[in-house]
Amino acid sequence: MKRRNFIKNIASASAVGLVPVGCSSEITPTEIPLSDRTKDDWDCLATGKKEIPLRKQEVTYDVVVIGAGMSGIPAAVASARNGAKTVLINDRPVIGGNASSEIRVTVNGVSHLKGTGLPERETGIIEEFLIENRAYNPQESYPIWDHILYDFVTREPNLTLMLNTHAVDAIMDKDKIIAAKCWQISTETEFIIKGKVFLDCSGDGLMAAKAGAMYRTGREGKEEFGEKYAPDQPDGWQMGGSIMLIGEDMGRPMPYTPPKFAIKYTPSEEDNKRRKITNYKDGYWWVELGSEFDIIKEREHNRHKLLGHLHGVWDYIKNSGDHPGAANYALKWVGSLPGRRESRRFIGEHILTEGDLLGYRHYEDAVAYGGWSLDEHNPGGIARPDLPPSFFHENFKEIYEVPFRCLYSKNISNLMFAGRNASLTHIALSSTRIQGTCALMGQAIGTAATFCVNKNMLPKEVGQKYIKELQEQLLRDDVFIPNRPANDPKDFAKTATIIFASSTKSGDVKLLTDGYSRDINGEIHHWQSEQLPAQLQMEWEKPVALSKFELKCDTNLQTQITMRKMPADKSHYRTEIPKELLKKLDLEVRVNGIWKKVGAKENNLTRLVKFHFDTEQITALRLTMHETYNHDTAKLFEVRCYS
Amino acid sequence: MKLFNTIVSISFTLLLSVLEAVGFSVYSQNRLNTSYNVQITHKGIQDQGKVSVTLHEFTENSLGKSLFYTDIESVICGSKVCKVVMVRLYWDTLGKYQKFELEEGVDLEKEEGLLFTEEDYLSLHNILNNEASVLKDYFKEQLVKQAVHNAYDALSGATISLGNDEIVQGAVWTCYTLWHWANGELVDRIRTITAQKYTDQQLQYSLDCGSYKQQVFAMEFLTKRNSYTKASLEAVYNANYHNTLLNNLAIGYLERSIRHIYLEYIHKMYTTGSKSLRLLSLNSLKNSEHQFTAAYMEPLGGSLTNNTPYPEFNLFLDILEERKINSSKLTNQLLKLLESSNTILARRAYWYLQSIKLEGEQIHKLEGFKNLF
Repeated sequence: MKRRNFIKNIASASAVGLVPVGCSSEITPTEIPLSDRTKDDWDCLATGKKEIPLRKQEVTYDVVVIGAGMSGIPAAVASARNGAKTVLINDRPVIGGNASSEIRVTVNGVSHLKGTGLPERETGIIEEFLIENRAYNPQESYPIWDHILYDFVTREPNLTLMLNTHAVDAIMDKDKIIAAKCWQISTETEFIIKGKVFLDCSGDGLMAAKAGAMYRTGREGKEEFGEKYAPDQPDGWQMGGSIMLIGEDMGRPMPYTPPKFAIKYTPSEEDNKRRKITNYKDGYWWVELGSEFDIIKEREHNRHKLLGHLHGVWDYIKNSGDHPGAANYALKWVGSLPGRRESRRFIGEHILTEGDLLGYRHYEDAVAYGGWSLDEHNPGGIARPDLPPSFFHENFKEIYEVPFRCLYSKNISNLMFAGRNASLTHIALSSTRIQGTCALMGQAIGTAATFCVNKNMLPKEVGQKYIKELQEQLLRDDVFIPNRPANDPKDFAKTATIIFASSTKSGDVKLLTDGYSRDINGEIHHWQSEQLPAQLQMEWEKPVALSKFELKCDTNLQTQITMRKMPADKSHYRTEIPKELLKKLDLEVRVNGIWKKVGAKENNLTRLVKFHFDTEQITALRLTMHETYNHDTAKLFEVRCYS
Repeated sequence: MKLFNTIVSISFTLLLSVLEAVGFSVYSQNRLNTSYNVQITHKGIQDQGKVSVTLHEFTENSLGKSLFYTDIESVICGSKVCKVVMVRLYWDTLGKYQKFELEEGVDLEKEEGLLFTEEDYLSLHNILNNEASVLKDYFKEQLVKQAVHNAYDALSGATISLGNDEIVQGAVWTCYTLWHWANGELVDRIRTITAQKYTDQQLQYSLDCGSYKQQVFAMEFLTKRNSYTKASLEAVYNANYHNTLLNNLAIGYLERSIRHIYLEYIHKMYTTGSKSLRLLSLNSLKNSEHQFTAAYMEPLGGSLTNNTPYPEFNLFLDILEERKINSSKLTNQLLKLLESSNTILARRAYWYLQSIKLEGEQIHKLEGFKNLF
């Protein structure tokens, strides 16, 4: 396929305000600050004087996270929660990235393992906001989902969110980023955001690229990493972006007139077998355009064409006569911003490959996992109707590991990345790009960043010297790492003389301290009560000074709770809080023989439940589980105690 | 006719040929006893509310045992269209699925219009025979596939899939609807019909001599009937004593009885039962709405020793504390345990004793342990 003619009647990047107007060909943009306003002729009636608008600010944080999608949000929240002063920068007015109401890509993860056919849902921070969405957004409204994420981020005390802010450059000191240069479009302000560690979770990774971080685009050839699904020779093809729609049955015939920019869609019978079109409600992910060279440069061109293809497909549905069942359907929502699958992939200490995934390679520095199929979309997308839209090469029978070494830059010392721009081959990306997997990577680097800050170290040193501690923190924070049971020396739960429960339907209370926070690969790691209320009690022979108790309860990780595009369409999707989740529970500790209530949760919404209380010398601890959301037993996977 | 029952050890082909030789006349050779019209809901057709079903009870001449069957117009979905197929399902008198049959010349279909193979039919039988199948928890909406090519769509999302043990691949809907017929509300209806023919004495006999499933059935219906005669109580107690799997049901049976019966038999279970039954009995007491006094607890406390498992000991003292029960006899019993080598047990006794009013020598004795805990 020939490369396209780029940018005809479509506005280029400079016209949308990302680069200041007024740069001559002799002067590079970096020589004139973005904030330069010396030419302003502002008659300010408020002061009665000529004024010059101040449009430059310098701010300093410990950790700078760029991109507030499914990678960036967990990265920033993990960083802030673990003690680093953190800023989260997003170039759009809403957060959520591909999952936001602007794009509406379903937040999938390990949704379907070969064999069991069941999901192995991601836990940690992503689980928290997905459950909140079930609690507060049963109507499945995308704009409400945006605000749930907004609330989730803005309520973190150590975290600052900057919207409409694009990180356009990096200020360097040798191999280290000193600051991200950002342009906030809503305030016309240039921000110089200084930090100790920079996490590029933006997908395209402009700031990291400008910092000089090594990256690549396109498809590796078979030979480079011995990937069986790679093309024989390397080429430039990158999976494309897609534009989504929502159709609605209006209960009466709905005519449709395509806009002038619609591109005719005339599928053959064979094409229709490859691209399912009868789901009029949910949109068509295969309305997709990729690139064989510089996909970022082609973005505006492709966006326009994608809109044309979307309307062309809908015109075919409505007006070809082939789909009489769609007569009452109308477009209720259409995207204007394509969801992006692939562009830059930065180079880390390790490049994760197809073989690593299919071989379930074990890494001593594993910090995340994945398990979506090798879902490589075809080169060209809808421009190649002769090919299936995705090759779906292979499914995974269990989850695979993602090592820390593919999440930090090989040549920029204080740069980490998570999501689709991590250090991966094109084929590995076809699986890891799924947002649930990206979220785990994000939480990993956000947590690692706090190690960098607290220990005054670079990511590579954290990986070399503190990887076990980093893994322990992630495990404590409810991330699951395959083949890596928790063994936190600070956890007093393991030192209890006895642990027992009021009843046991399945599992064993002893499993609550075995280091595994879920049942996995057919192995049981839980305790389940016979009924509710249920009690769990721990006793120590000698008093221990404790101030924290943490547990991980059941949210049924073998189901999907992610939101889909169709609001309240219960004929296909569930919208409830996981019925197994503990709703009401309380904690008592025994001090000098007297039981003392130190915590209670009335409407708990988290799998990881934390009780913090004033330090007490205790000899026993008693957890009473009163109620779940709609299940008659309680199930726990882990308990921990800390001083 | 195709018939698939629990005799799976017989070669499938042989079984089929034998049964086909018998043909549809299997029904007519049996003695039809009674028919029952029942209204039930079915998870796969919940939109329609209650569904009317006719259950037929008959005696199978060859084996001389009673069975139930019903004919179900099951919607079987193949390649592009769904069709209605008559499926006959059989249960034993306790509501346990036995087998299914299809009319001569009728075959079940999978996706792409493929007919069920012999292995598929056997798999379907095994699936229906599994009362604990995960199909129980699914709603029909979760099984409707959205993707076109068995692929899972990153943008529109995947539907839930199941393993080979749970479904015949390509026939999810068929497995789902038939499983809910075989293991849904009809099971309860059959059990209720059967129970109506049993006297209390017969149920007691089942508890004494029956299989585990018959014992469960008997205990369930003695409970539902509020049968608390001495004979029923003893039958429940004895069955429960010999089979720990019945402990929970037995406790549940007692919890529905009146106060003096409940207390008498909980006492009996605690003092004679296994470790797990003792714990269950105390748990029941702890949560019971019935009132009881120190006089009731004293004999129970008499069995506490150094070797009493800590959870049981702790639970016993929890009951005393929560119900504010104490007596000199209980106190003296617990004072003895202060000297236990089991530190946490002794400490638990100490703290309980410290919280109640003691007298004379009792105070002196407790003082001796003051610095140990």
